[in-house]
Amino acid sequence: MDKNEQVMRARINDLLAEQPLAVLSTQRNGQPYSSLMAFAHTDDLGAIVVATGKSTRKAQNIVMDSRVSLLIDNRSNSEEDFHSATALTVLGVAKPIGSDERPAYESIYLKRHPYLQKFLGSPTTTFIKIVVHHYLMVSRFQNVMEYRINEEVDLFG
Amino acid sequence: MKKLIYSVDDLPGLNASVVGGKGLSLLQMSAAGLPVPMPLCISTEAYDLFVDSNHLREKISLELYRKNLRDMRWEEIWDASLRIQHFFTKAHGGEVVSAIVDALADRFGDQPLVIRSSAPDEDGAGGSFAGLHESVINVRGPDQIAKNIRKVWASLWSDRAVLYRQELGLEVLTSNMAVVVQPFIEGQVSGVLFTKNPLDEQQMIIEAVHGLNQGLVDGAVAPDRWTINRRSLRVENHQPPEKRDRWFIRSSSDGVICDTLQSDTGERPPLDSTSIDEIVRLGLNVEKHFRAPRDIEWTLVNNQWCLLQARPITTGGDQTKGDKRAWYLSLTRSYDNLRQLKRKISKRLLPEMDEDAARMAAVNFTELSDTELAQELRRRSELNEKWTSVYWSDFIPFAHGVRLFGEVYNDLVEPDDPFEFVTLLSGQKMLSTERNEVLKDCARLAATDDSIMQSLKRGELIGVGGEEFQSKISRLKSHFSIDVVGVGDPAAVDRIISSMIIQYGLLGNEFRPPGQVERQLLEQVFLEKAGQQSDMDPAELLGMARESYRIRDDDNIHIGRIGQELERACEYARALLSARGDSMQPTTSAAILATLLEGEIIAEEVVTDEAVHVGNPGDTRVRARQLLGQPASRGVATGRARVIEQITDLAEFSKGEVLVIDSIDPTMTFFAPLAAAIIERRGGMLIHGAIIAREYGIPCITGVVGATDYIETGDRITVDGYLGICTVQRPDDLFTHPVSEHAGRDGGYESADAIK
Repeated sequence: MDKNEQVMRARINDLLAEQPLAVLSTQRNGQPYSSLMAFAHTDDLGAIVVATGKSTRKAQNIVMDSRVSLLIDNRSNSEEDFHSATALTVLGVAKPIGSDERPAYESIYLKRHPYLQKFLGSPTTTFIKIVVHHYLMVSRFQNVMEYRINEEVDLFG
Repeated sequence: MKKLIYSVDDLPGLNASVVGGKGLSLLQMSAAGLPVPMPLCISTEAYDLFVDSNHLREKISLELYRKNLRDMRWEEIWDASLRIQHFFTKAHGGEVVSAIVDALADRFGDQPLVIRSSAPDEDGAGGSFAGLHESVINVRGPDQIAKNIRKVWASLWSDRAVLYRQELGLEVLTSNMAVVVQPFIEGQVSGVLFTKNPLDEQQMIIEAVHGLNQGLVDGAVAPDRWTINRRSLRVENHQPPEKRDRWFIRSSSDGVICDTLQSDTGERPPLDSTSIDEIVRLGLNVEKHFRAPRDIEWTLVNNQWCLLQARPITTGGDQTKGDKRAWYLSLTRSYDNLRQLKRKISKRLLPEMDEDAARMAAVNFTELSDTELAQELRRRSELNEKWTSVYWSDFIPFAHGVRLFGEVYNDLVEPDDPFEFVTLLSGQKMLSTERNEVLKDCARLAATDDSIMQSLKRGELIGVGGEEFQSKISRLKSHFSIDVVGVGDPAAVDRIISSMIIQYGLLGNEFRPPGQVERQLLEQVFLEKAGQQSDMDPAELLGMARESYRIRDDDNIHIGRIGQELERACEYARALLSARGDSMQPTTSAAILATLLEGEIIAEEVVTDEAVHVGNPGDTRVRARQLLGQPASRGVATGRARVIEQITDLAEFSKGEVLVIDSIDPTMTFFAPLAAAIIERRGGMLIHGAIIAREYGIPCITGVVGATDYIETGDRITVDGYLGICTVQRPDDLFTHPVSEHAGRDGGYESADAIK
């Protein structure tokens, strides 16, 4: 791993670790749809997990098209954001979580959001793993760096 | 509403965070009955109101946080500072400024005023960095007062202040500036008094000049200097200046001017023994008041003493060795100094340098013995060092004259674009553009002679074409120093020149550089405004700025001739020694070659590969999508990137490509007319790549951190020369490939039921 990659990973990890919420974008019939979600990430940055009601629009959208995007940022909603905020766009594919891997993902999710234990445990909630293939980091207003993290899921490669 | 103006009546209870260090000190002196022209202080709250109501904090931050401060060269800091000052000029004054101007008019009527910066921590850490912020003398009329208050506020972000930002604790969110306004006092004699000599505690120091003390403060007028024994209060030593022939006086319009001092006044020292005695006693009173030694600025008007300011004594900062910032600050020369430099450079240095180059060019190495060749190598090496040193000591400071002009231009014309002055300076005949015309001539000759074209395609120039073609090639190599780019590999130069001539043959008349008409219009506006307001001769100032702009580009070509002559001798010596069986590297230095020629045996040179490329290999997972830099030449272009890692890569450069390079030397700018756009890692609005790009109307972005690391030859690049953004598109970009019908659509969910 070269130095650029190490620096990029550290910056991504810092941002993911300090933010509890992400905007999840799904789509149906070409209509984008965005939702605010609690999330948690794996240490290797390879996956982000979210939970939602099975009957929600976003859950339905994912079933029809598993390609999703997330936005995570550290804005403070003041003018300063223009020079100081960092935003991370995540591109990936949503996958159902198998029973064998569920305990590990539950553990990282509940560590970040212990108050959501009941919600996560409900039979009406679906627990979704987003396998990340790209991170795009925007800083200093217009500086954009891309990080291709997962070759296996390089949809367009 | 917050209180905008404070006076002596508001003491006590005031502190420096509201009126600044200088303001507080002057108010206190005035209250103590010391002879101070009545001060009013515009509060730091007024600055905050002005800045916040115009959303300037974020604008300043966007400039300063465009990249990491440690990645910013001083040229970029100057550029950023100029843009920030421009924000203050163009911002709406609103109620804040008009309320201040009204209050000042109530108090001072139509007297001429002095408007001085008064930063809150000026007497603290900032004390060691005197001259960071602006003070304006002899300001009259509400418009000029309003304009100069903004100017003093803006100087919180002067290039000097930003350069020492860390030491000063300068923060966009919290820093602010108070302003002191006083009546302008036109003294007949002025000076400074150190109540304690920083180098000898037993002494006081007085420095005095005839007229106003502007000349003394900026070093343009040499003062008389007296050393006083602090105990006996007697003069221990009087050191007159070499000449008393100049003084600063009030201008008939605004500001002050430097004029010739009449000889009868110049014959006598500015102070006699009685007045020395008086100022010493006054100084001790001030010291008693502050209970500490002070550095006092004073003036004497009709035999009445007037104290202009009193600062704590500092020892001039603790700049560490190797800190180049002090050198940078020394670049800011006065107009007079630049005039002298111009004469020195054009009348003496450039002709001497060219003579040296011509003398060297005339030497026939085959006629020299080994010892003579060794001597010749050493002589050339010394000359190269000498001229390199002149380049730093004289040429670069003179080139800085362009910046002085930029500041004057913006002050007078208040253009929408703070870099409009560059357009006014461009379009001149420069060696680099002249050279590019010769390349075009060569292309024309090649177009009519197929044998030339065939040789060019093979990268061969020796013996090609007729006399006319050969004389042009020889001119390109020697007069325009193109040879210098091929250090160590003469054949590479021929390949590069051949390739360039072929490419120049493809050039049409596609350039749209700023027209002559636009320049004439700008010149007319400038001269008109300058004629009304400035005391400098505006035509002379413009002439000097143009000369400075031109020499900035030309000097590298002149000095390139010297370097090239050194290299020619080295090449000959390498070939000679190599033929005798010595092992040679293309980089074996003149010193080693000379030693070998004299028969000494030296240990084999250790060749290290200095060109360590920190870039990432092609298969890296981290890529740039958008990189930020400074918009240095307007326009937008998209094209294939050609990344120049080493000079020989230039032979591969094709017309219409986007040139991506670490930094461009004027000896290399011949490829600029072929480029669709230029991206340079080195930053600045006035660096060579930017200058040549503007000459040809090509979009250019400079100061792009990691440009040659993150961009690869073959990438598709869009260069936005308006905003300074370059966008990188790879053949395998995320969204350029059609989405596979199946990829991701099922995503592992077998059916909608699976999650129900």
